[in-house]
Amino acid sequence: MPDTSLTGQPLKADTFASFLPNSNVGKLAISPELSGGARQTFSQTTVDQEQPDNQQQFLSFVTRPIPKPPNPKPAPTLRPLQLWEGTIIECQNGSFVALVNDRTDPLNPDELVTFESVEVSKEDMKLIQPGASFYWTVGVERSPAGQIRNVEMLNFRRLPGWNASSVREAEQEAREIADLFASE
Amino acid sequence: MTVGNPPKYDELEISVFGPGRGECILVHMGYNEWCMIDSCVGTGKALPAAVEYLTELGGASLEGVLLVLATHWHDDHIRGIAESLHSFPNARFACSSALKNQEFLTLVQLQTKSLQGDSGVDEFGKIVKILKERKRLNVNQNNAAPVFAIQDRLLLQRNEIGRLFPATITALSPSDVAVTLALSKIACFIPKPNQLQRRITNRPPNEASVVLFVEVGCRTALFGADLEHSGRAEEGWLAILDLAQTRPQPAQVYKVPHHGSPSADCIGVWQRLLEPEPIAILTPFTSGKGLPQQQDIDRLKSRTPHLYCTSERQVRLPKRHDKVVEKKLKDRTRIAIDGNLGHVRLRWSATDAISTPQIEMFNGAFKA
Repeated sequence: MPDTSLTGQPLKADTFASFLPNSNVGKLAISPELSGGARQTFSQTTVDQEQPDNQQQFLSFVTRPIPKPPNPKPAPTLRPLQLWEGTIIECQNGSFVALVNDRTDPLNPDELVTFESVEVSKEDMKLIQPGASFYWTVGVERSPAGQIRNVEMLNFRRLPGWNASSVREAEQEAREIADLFASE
Repeated sequence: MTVGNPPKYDELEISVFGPGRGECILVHMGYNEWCMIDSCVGTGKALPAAVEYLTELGGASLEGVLLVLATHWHDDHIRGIAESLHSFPNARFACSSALKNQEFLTLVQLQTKSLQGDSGVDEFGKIVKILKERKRLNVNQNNAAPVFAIQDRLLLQRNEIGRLFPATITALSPSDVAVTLALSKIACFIPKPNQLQRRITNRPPNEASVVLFVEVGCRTALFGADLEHSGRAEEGWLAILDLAQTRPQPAQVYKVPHHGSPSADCIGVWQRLLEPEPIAILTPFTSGKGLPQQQDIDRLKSRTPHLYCTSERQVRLPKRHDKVVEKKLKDRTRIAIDGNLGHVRLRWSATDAISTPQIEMFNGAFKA
């Protein structure tokens, strides 16, 4: 039987009830294990006869059917067939050219591929600049209803900006390397 | 490809590989001593072309490599150069003087903390690690520090007692002016605080490329790297021509600069630095419009009938994938940028002045 107390001691009904604002009692969702434990603990050990009104109130709470949390909306699943990592080489008017490297089979040659800017989500538009890195996936998407379609996706990598300390650190390392080389 | 036997002890060998990712020249200086200039890796290959070739030749050739030189930092020239340096325990690393500068080293260090990729800067990051490790191990201190090439600097000299002929490699570029120009451009790549992390994709011009003059016995060669003809004095090919009077003899073999591009063609080089109708070897560049174009081939053939190319310049179709993937990609513009890695090999006696060269072509290389 699960222990429902925080301290190892069973909770008294009024103590437990005092945690529950009246307005929220009906809205709370308690996990089955917790609710079952609470019900048994309450009924067997801690509900005494001193406060029958509270007891009744609490019993009506804990014995009512506990609504299950709504299932999250099922998401489509993706079976990737091919993955590339791309780097934008050149931005043109409404399109960009990227050097893509085959991550599915790295021994394949790199390719120059042209993409239209409209293929990129609105949130990623500002990332379309030379040097930006993204993943390009082609795969099969299955909807919750079982529909299948071939899809391709561009996901831009969001990397943090350089901070001054990283640049300073690199400069220091560069000085050390220069000294190392100069010592010969 | 059967590469056969190693060259004889008194033979100059010039093997030019390209264009996988990068290009590479391997020079036999005699007595199983080699130099590697730039590097490339063939499509689908794990090892750099020079390492693979020397391994196939056998005869402890990997230990015989004495110098690994990066003419410049573009990734179409130095793919796999760090792995090559690691494979050659006795090789010293050399690069342009422009790259010893604090700004470039800072750029290399920043790149190692950021997006790793396959750029030339990443290769330099790996090289720095190898050199630091050599320094730490204290095994061969001579190989722990790079040699920095600048105009008219002797990079390698072999004239030990017992050698029947000397061998030297001299840098003809970059000039001081070119180094200064290159440094100002490299500094622009260093990110400012808060600037988003990105890969380096813009390529600075090739003015700091290292052009080499090689002498092995009675044979001479000029390797043009990617040096371009800017038309300005004190940089590019004009800076080298200023020094031409100090060159004792013109070159018999010419590695054509910058993939035969017209921007690297300087008539003065043909007139003053090369013998008439030299043996010219070029490697194509497969990205973008590609080089050389047919008019470049025609122009070069008008200068010498002995023009060899490591590979056809052709737009390669990308690798085919799963049919579902192909269906999705059918309307995309895609160009595979790796070329077919061909190989032109020249072997020529370094001691017999009247001998003729033996030129072999492998894996799609051809005489234009």
